[in-house]
Amino acid sequence: MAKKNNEVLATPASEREVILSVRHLKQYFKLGGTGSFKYNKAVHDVSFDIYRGEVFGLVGESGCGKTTIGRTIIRLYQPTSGSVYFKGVRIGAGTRWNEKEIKYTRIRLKEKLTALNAAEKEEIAANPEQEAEIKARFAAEKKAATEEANERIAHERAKIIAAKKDNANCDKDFAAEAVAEVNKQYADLIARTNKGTKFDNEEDKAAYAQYRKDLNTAKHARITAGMQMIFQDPMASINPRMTVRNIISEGLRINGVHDHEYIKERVNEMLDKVGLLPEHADRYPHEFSGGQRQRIGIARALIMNPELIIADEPVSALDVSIQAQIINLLNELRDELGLTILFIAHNLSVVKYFCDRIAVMYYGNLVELAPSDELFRHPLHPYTRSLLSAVPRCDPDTEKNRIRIKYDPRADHDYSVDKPRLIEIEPGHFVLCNEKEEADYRALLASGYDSGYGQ
Amino acid sequence: MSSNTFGTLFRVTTFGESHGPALGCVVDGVPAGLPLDLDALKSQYPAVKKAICSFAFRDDEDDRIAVFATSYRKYVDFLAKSFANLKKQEKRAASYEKKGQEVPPLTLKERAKLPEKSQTPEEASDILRRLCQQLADHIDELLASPLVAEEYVDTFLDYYRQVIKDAYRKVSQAQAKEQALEIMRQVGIPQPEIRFRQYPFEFSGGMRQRIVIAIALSSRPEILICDEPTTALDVTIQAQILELINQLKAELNLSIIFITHDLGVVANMADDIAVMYAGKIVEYGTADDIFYDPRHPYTWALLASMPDLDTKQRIDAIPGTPPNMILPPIGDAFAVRNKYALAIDFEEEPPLFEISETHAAATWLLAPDAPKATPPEIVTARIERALAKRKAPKKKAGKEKKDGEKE
Repeated sequence: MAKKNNEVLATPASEREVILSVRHLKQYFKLGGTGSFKYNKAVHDVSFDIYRGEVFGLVGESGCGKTTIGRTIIRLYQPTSGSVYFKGVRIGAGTRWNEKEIKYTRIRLKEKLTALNAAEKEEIAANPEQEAEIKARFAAEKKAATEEANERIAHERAKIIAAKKDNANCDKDFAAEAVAEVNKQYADLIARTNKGTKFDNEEDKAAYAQYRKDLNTAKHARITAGMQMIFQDPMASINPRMTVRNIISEGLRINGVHDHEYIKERVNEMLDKVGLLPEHADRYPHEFSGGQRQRIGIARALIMNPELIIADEPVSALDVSIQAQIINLLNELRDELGLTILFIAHNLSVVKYFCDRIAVMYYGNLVELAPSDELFRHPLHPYTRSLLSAVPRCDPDTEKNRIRIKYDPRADHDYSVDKPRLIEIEPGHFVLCNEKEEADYRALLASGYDSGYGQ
Repeated sequence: MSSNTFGTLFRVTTFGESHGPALGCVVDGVPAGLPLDLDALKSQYPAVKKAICSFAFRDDEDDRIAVFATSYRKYVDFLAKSFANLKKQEKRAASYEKKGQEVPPLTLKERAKLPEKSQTPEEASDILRRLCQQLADHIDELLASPLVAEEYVDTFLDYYRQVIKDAYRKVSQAQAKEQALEIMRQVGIPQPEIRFRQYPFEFSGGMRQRIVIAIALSSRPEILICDEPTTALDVTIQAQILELINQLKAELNLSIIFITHDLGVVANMADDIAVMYAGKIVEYGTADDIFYDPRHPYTWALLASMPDLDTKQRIDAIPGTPPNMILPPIGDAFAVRNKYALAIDFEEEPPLFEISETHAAATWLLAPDAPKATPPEIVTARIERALAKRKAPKKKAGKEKKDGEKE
């Protein structure tokens, strides 16, 4: 299971399929009461893609917004701005950017008109005899400006409408498509039996029953069922009053499956996959240890046959020896089921072992994004370096002599004039920096910089 | 110390100085100066019959304190309250003066409730020193007297120490707040005056942990037990908290018992390590012993399951779960999950085999006729690398030895 030979990273970028795409995501929470609002900018313009089959790590301190991103992607929050695309379909969109655009367009228009009016007055004062033509000329200009502005506003409004529609209807659209599929598949059967009123033989009856079942499933189909979440605290994220069977099969039941035999079979299958026994299905969560409860959480996520799993710090609340078990389990499942995993964590050593690409976040901003080997060998952003220096090692010598690098954003960067952007320094390695820092980093890499972590 | 007929209380130093407050209080009803003639005491003041002088001997020079006690808990309370009354009295006097009126003289009862103030800390400490000296001179007599039988002394000493601990902790609200702010500053909470009034949900995880440490430190402990203090925190905050604990350990001369499951944290903090499994210590030794020469299979398994920033190797999880101690297993509790288990592990529990003066492990692999077992590759590779780094010439100054033994 050597991670270096991972097929995902080995395929060229053009052939990789993007399963989740986050574009300019912003999540702001309002603070304060009436009157002036202050915004808690939890996530501040984050964009990344996740390719099918990879494990994407999202790392940062507590309070940096990584859990917020996970929850926004899974639609627990509505994005304030930006979009989330899952398998090409937009499932979440925010409108704040559009609204701001409209506001600023109007302001700019006002300014422009004022400027034009002033210019007009000047010219008329200068050449009073050509008043009429000057007026006409300026009127045309003003009209053009106004039209342009209105066009833009209409464009943004359309975007807002589209965003709201997508937010509300992405699942419904998907269900409608699925229903159409099913109907198409059984078209001749429907025609033959005249929509279930006339049955010629037993086969048709059975087939029609099957059709009804499929239709039911299709009606409840959701595109977002392909994304499931594993939560952080195995004690708090499982309902203590439900049996394990009920917990795991809750997703199926919500999606319209009521066949007890089928549910039982699926639950046993899942328990087997995560390393628990079928007899555990009728017990209650308090009878299990932390690691086992996390396995129950994983089974609950897997039963929906997801394509993307968002694992929100699944091992942070567990002992180190159990962490290893759960990580190995996730690895096996990923190979077996072809899952894509968004792994949110704060422990860099676990992330290094498990993830293909890693994104580092600091207070709502994405500061570095690179394949995991590359990130550990060449950490460029000072925050990444400080994070790496804080990881504890199993070696008393290094530990006792360790000097931790502290990151102070005000001291380490000067963003007064030159604003930072996410720049691709090496293919696949993105860093948030301004131009001066970019030059520095390139020089550093050229001079053979190696951090010494990982060989 | 004046000859007040009621208990006299004075503070020698204020909280915050390194040797803490010295509390001198006299047996109730006995004039100050502590007559050590117990027969005379008994006849003069019947209350003394039940009173015993005990002390926790601590002198200013050697950082020791002398404490005297009464035998009744309520007297100790009384003595503590008298301090509060002093404050009240001062306030009352001040209010009279503000109004420009004459301060009415104290009635006997009121005066009875007040302690005598020493003018300066030096004067008070002087008095206390004399007192301690007196007591030291006569302590043998005191202990030999029939009123203070040997077997009582220890229990009463403990009792008084306990009681006095509470007594000199009984401070007024204002003093308590001052002490609290001081400790908050010590553990590194910015703007403690504002944070003092906030609720826990307004603190982040790392800050809450600091508050917990402050609570633990407020009683000036000598041993600090840290039970998984950094489990739920992320690496940078964890590093800060560990640095804080180390700093406090140095400043306050603490001994720390650090309970954790994270070997990285242990490597940072510990001088001596005890590895436990199923309620027993399966290996103990210094940090060097455990990390560079582990002998118990469970220690090997723990070291192998730690993800390492320096290597690419996969981590070896330990299969299974710890045993259910309601039905404790026969023989070695770890045998079921142990790759290196011998047949005897399932029958008989291994005793602690001594490896060196500081290092011992409870595993049958250390028995004289046991087969040779090597730790897993991950562990040996890591140890080799670490030892190689040690031997390599150091560019910077050598590491300083940490003196003092702290667990």
